[in-house]
Amino acid sequence: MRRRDLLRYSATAGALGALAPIGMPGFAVRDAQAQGAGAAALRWGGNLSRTLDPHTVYDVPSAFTRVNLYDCLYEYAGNPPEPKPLLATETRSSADGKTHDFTIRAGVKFHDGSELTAEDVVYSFRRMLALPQGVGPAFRPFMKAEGVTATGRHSVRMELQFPYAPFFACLPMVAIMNKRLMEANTVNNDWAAAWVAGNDAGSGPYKVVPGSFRPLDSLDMEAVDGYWRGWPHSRPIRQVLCRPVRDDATRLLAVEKGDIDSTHSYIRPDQHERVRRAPGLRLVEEPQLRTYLLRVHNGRDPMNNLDFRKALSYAFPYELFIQRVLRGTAVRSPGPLPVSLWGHPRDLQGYKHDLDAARRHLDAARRAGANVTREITFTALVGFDETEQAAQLLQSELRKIGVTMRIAKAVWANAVQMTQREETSPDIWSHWGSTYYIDPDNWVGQFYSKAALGTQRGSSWYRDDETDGMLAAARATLDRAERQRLYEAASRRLVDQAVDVWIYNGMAYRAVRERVKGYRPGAVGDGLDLRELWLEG
Amino acid sequence: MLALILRRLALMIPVLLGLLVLVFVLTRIVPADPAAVLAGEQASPEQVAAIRATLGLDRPLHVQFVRYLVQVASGDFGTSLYTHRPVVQDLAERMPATIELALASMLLAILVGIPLGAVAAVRRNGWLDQIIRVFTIGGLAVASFWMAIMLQLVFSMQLDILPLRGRVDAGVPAPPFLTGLYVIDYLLAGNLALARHALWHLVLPSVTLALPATATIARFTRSSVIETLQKDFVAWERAVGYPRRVMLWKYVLRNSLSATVTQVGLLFGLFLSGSIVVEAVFGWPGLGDYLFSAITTADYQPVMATTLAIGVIYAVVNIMVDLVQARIDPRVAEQR
Repeated sequence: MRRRDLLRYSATAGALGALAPIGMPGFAVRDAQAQGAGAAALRWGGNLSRTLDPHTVYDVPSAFTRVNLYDCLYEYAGNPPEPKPLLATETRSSADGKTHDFTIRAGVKFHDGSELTAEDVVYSFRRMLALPQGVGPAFRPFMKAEGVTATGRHSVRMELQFPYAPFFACLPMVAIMNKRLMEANTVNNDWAAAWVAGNDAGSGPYKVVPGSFRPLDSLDMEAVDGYWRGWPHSRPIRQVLCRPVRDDATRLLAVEKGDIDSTHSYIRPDQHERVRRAPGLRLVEEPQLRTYLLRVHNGRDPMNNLDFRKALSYAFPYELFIQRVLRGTAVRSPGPLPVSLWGHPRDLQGYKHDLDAARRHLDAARRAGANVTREITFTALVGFDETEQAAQLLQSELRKIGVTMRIAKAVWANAVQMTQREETSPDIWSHWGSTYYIDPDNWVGQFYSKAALGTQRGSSWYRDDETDGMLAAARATLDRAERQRLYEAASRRLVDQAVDVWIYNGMAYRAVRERVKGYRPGAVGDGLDLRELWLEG
Repeated sequence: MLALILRRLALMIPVLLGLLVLVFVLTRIVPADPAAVLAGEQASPEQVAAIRATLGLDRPLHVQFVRYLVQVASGDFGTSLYTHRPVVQDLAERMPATIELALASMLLAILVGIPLGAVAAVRRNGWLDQIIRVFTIGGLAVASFWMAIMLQLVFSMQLDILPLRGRVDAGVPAPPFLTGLYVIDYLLAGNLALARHALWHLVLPSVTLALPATATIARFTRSSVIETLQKDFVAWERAVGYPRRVMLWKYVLRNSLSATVTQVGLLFGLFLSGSIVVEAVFGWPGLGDYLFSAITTADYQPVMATTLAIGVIYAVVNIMVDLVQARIDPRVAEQR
């Protein structure tokens, strides 16, 4: 380098260095904070739903807004969670279990100041039943819109088509909406779906800051003064800024840096130690009722052979998967129900990894004429590494006993499409038994009834009159002890028939900053009650 | 020049129509049933079928296409199955973020790439050229998501001089909507502090997105400048004693930029598609995240509208590139 060049470059670098403080980003950030970014706000980094409409979507992220913007007749409380009255102060059920009378709490106000009455409850249930997706499909089999009527200013009657035992467990799914506000925003008989997708019509502890919602991206909420349930802490969180972080790596950086106060609840096992060691952070464990299982196509050769299915069940390395892949963050689930839920037989052993037993059953299947040499296909889900890892482990074990298995991949939407028809449904695929309502029917009833055939829930293509009868009887009786007996019997029968490969009950993990106090996981999905939180310092 | 613009605009119509057909067919042949995904896990086959009928997905493909064409011609891009909002509204909110990021990246790539390429050509095979070569090969080889994370670790976590993610910090009010580009809108609103705040948020994502493009532009410029330096007119200018700097930056570079400008137009498409990864890492609320979410849930209206919108932007940018080329080299306008 020539001396003149060196001097020129040095002078340029010096000038840039001298100018740098003028535009130092730190200054700009402080300027911006002075203009409105409050440190007293909770910066929530959990996933955000695509809509604020509590009736059209029912998934993990939507529980967050449903619980905090709305109230329901019932809520889940306790551990394991049970449905408890919330807006309902009194419930009377007829002896045949078909008619239920609710007294609605007086004095509850919507966010616009109007009073919540029976008319709002009736409107909300009729709306939910009228909409084609979301919560409605769970209610429509046993309830019709005309069956919901107001019997007084604060009393509602619900008449079911037939006795349906999980009814009370389903009630926390239905948010009560402000009828007057909704009707004022209804366009072309859309039940105000377009409007309420970005606004709220609730009576919950928080309300939406108008115009702040952007699907999947951002939502600002403010505490409601004088909320009827009160605030457990003297300094509750007044402002909540929801800013989901979509990328895995950035999510942890953001919570470490303090950009957000909490991540979503899917912190991967390999990231747990990092969170535990990070100053100012803690890892919160959230017990889940969600089950993970491999759905096996019972209607197709060779999986229609009981011994072949047992060979599959014995071939899967459960402990290896839970301890190595999931790093011990799950509990072995030997049957179709979550292990902590009533209805699960406490003494149910299920299957263990045993290749000798798998070989014996494979030989028996071969002798019975099953086409055990056919290459079977495991459909793993794109974006869910765990499903691919499960597939690889099973593939490896099956190879040892002489069964060839191919791994295919599909995005969730494609997999759902495949399960609609028996011919296209995968040989084996990964499925989660998510919690929609906390009742054994949500898992065993929904997955193994004949009525589920043709949907993703029925993708085992399992047809058994005896099991179907037990599940129907369990839905029809209100006797809890009898229901428990029926679900236990159904679970044992399903395990004996090795209908699916049931693997684990999950545990969810969330990284939360130490300044967030009072944190208690929600019973369903991301439905934690923000009222209970406060910020330290 | 006007004739050139009109010709290029006219050519855009069949291109966009072709794109529309392609996207429509692709979204329909993918084995995913929007009705089943929308209905959710609790729905029965009859309920799914009812949704399918409501959405018109049970009709023959050609009927659906004609219906879609009519709809698009009237400026209606449909409604998202999930947000229940008109797709146009979603696009209008998200498009400016992606455009702001793409423009900043393009500007950065041009401002850095062209001088780097020119310097490398002038110092051909010297140590400066070698350093630039390492930079350009590295820029092309490094994966965007890795670079993004490295930049975040160094500049945001370690040095703490640049923001980690987002267009602005949580709680900072968005500017009044004028162009949708935050930096410009804050400036137009007279809020210098927030303009600067937004500008600093733009740095890491735009550097990540610009890096491979900068490398490409530098390589193209270097080759073109070397070629031009060997031409007779340069030898003549040298012989008559033109100042080296004037000769390089005024004559040689202008004669070398034609290929680079074409490349810039093509790279803009890269910025738009590459933004999917960069937007996810930096929490940039643009089209990338929206499109990804729509694809995975078979929300076909946003997929079609977003693809079409990107196609229109790409076509418009390429018309602008043609105009710039015509300005640099008037012979181009005559040929086209």
